[in-house]
Amino acid sequence: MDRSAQTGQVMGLAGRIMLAAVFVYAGTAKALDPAAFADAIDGYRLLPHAAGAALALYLPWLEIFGGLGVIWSRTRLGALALLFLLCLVFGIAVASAWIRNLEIACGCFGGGAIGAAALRGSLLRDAALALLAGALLWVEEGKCVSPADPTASR
Amino acid sequence: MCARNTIDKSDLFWRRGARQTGLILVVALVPALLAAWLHSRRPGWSRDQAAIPELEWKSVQQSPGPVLLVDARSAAAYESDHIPGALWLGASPGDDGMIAVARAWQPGTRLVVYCDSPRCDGAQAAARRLRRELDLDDVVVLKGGWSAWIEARRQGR
Repeated sequence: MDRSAQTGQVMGLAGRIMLAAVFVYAGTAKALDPAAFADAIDGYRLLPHAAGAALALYLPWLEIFGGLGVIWSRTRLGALALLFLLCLVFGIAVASAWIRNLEIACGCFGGGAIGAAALRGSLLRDAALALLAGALLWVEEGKCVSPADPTASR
Repeated sequence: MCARNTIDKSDLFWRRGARQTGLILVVALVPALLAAWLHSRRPGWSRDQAAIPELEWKSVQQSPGPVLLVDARSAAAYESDHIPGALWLGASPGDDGMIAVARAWQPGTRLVVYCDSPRCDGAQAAARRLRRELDLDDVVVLKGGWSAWIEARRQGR
């Protein structure tokens, strides 16, 4: 294996660990207090309360298992696709709150600062995570469709 | 395992991804259902049952807009002493402090309800009542209640 391939592998591993750590941490923080997360979802004024409550119970675990799935090679592809989609959904929700000037906390890590500046920060962080997940997904696809390296995904 | 030597590798690739995503979606349902059943901080299904968020006194002071304090302790406790500017509501449905609170409330005002201590639940019930009867969204509970405020005042905060 040449040096550039080795560097690529190390960067891919670092990216996956970073993505997994952020999502497992965010999911755990919310799973510990789903009532507070349901309140945070209510603050966005996008869903009826019952739908927000169901999401507050389910979403943290989706983040935790998605984060862990990125580490395991047999679920990596699906986990990356899931986290990428979650980032898109979170981004749309936070952007809509920012546009509507809602004085709310993002709730991304189970709470956080309130206001437009905090929402802008959350949006930037979300965009960075979406880019990372998208890039890792693209790398995974490259591994699988390249006939030159049949062992790439093992 | 990747698709190799097939006509449509991309299709198989995405099908494999969808299968893995589906697996994660199903596995995550298990702890979510357990949390809905057993979690001590599970959310209520109706808005009335939802736990009201609790804020420290320091966070109340940093609220971006005006704040209206609502005392949910007994009338005697309120008469004896209360947080300056607080209105008395009481925790039982018969109390008529609701009208005073409705009159004092202005658009954009956050209602902060407190009771005696971290162990009392009168503030949560009163806050839910305010949300329900006045149809207000921005209602929170002062974490630690009256005793937390006394402690903050003692420390000069």
